[in-house]
Amino acid sequence: MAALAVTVTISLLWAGLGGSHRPGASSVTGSDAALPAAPTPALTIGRPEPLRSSGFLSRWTSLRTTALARVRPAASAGVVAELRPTTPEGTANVLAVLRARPDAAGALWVKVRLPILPNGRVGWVRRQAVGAYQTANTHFVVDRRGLRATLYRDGKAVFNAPVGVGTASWPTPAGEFLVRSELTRYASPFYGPVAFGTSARSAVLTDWPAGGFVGIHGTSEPQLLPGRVSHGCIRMRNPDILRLAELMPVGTPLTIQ
Amino acid sequence: MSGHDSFDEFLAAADRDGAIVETSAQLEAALSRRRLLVAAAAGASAVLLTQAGPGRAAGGLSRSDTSILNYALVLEYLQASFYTEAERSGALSGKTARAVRVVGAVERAHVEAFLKLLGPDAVKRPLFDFQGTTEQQQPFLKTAVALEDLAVAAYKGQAPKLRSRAVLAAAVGIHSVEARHAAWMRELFGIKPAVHAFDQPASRASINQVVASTHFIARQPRTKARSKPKYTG
Amino acid sequence: MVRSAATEDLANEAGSSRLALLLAAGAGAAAATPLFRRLLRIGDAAAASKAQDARILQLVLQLEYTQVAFYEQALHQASLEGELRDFAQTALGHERQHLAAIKRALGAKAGKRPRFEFGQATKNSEAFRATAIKLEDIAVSGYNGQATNLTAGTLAAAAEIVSVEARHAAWVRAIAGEVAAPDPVDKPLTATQVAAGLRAIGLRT
Repeated sequence: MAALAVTVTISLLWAGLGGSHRPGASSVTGSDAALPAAPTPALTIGRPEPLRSSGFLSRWTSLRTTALARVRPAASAGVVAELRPTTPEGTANVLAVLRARPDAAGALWVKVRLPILPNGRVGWVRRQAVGAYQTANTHFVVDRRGLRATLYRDGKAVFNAPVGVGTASWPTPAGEFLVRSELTRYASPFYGPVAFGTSARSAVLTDWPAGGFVGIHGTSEPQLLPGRVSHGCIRMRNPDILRLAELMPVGTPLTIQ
Repeated sequence: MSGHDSFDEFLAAADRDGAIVETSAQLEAALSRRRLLVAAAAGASAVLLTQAGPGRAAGGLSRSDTSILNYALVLEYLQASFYTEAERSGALSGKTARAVRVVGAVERAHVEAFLKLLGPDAVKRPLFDFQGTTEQQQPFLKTAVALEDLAVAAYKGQAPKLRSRAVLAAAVGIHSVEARHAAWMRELFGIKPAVHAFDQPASRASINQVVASTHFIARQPRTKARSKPKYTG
Repeated sequence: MVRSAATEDLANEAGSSRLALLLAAGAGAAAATPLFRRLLRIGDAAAASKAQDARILQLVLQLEYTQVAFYEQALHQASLEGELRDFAQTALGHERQHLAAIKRALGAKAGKRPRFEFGQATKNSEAFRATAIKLEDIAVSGYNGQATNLTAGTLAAAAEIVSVEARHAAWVRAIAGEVAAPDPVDKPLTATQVAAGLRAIGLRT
């Protein structure tokens, strides 16, 4: 142990004295040859990259508080709807964000899609009524004519399945909506193992409990699919909905054609 | 650096040179309402607050260095997300928009480097609610000044505590870049880029307090549930 | 736009007294340190010591002498105007405070002020600006290059200075509409590289 200590001490002394000594440099750096070089940094910073195009990105947010959605971004504008911070399922009321604008006083307002009838309504809420913005790079498109649904990620199709949609009497509405909740582990074979809530509403089942919202869910009658068979919901076979649940996050925009 | 009880004070601290700075009405409104609402989430806040005990984490870094790196990572996440959201908002123009493209790319590169080093020990990216400061140019600049000055003070406060010389070498190389960013944002905002001859460090506790006062770190909204579907079917 | 004189003095005091205290306390401490403690510093702390701190401070002393002389001469001769003049005046004030702090820390051992020949760099504003960028970048990289050689206390003090140099570098780039901070990380320079860089700018020993 003592021998090792002595060896190390001598090494230190040599390190202190060794190295080249540039003539003329001494008044600037003194015995600069004795100064160790900086070690390789533990972090390797890669090349900074610009943001990739936002063509496939959409924004959503959640309501933090009960809020009034108005026709224009102004406190004096007419009220379109009162929004609650939670859905009938008890999840956060999440909304698609379209744009933001300050009012005349400089207060920021956000234009959102409203989960109300008639479908397709938009309104402006105060920025502080909503929370963090989140982005989605996925997009779920339901083709009512072809009875197929496709999930796109960054513009590429990553999922495709046959679906059941509403009958002529209880049609699935067309338009732009949002996947706003995911329900699991409920005991109801009619809805299959997973059900997604959307902001789309049946235009005919206006007295339906909990508002008559359109869902995307599994089924206990897969033999009916594809077909026009539901009360407005988008049904798919249970293996398909389970696969979709691995790929589609809440906040995904929904287009029903 | 003294603690901040409110977002007001946090932003005002950026104004150390005494220049008159307009607080936007939108920010004022946000602040008064924000005080009534639920505060920041656990998770990332816990990382900021928790100092590590002794010992070694996986990958050869000491537990204490890992803790400091994760603390720095949260600040890098904060900055990267702030600049990214601001760039995507489309609300910025001119020299500010150009600066944000450069600085955002750098902060994202910093995040990637931390993730590569920390691996499974890396803290997860928090959810950030920037409450409109990424959506209007003047509030953006004021917040950017404060966040960059904060990052400089944070790195400065931790550098002497690092055990590993290799981690220290990395930290000093980033610390001076954050100082360049701070000067840049100040110049864009119209205040003096370098006021004092000596920049002061900030303790982890004071940084935690400032970050908490912004309420930028948000709780994830609850979007999943077990309730029985009531959809039309 | 400028802080009150009283608070400027406080910051100055904080910086210079911290350095002075650290070095004064360290005098002779290295000799008294038991061997086993010096051995413990191998690896992570390498050869950090108060004596080495002092050698490093002699290096940064040259940096600060150069910066003070450069800004002084440019303000006299380079016909600086507007924000560039404001920058030079502010930077000069800071560098004078850095110089004072380091000189106090080194006490009687502080190296003497060298001679300088800056040529055109202090005679017209475009050359001044280009050289100021180089000089501030050398200062940042020079400090960063020695950070891992310093004891913790001196590192803390040096850290208070290097970020100000970095602010200067970004500021003077921004004045001409350049990208103020183009790189994601600042590389270190060795003491030899710093010396070479300063000589190229105008330091004459």
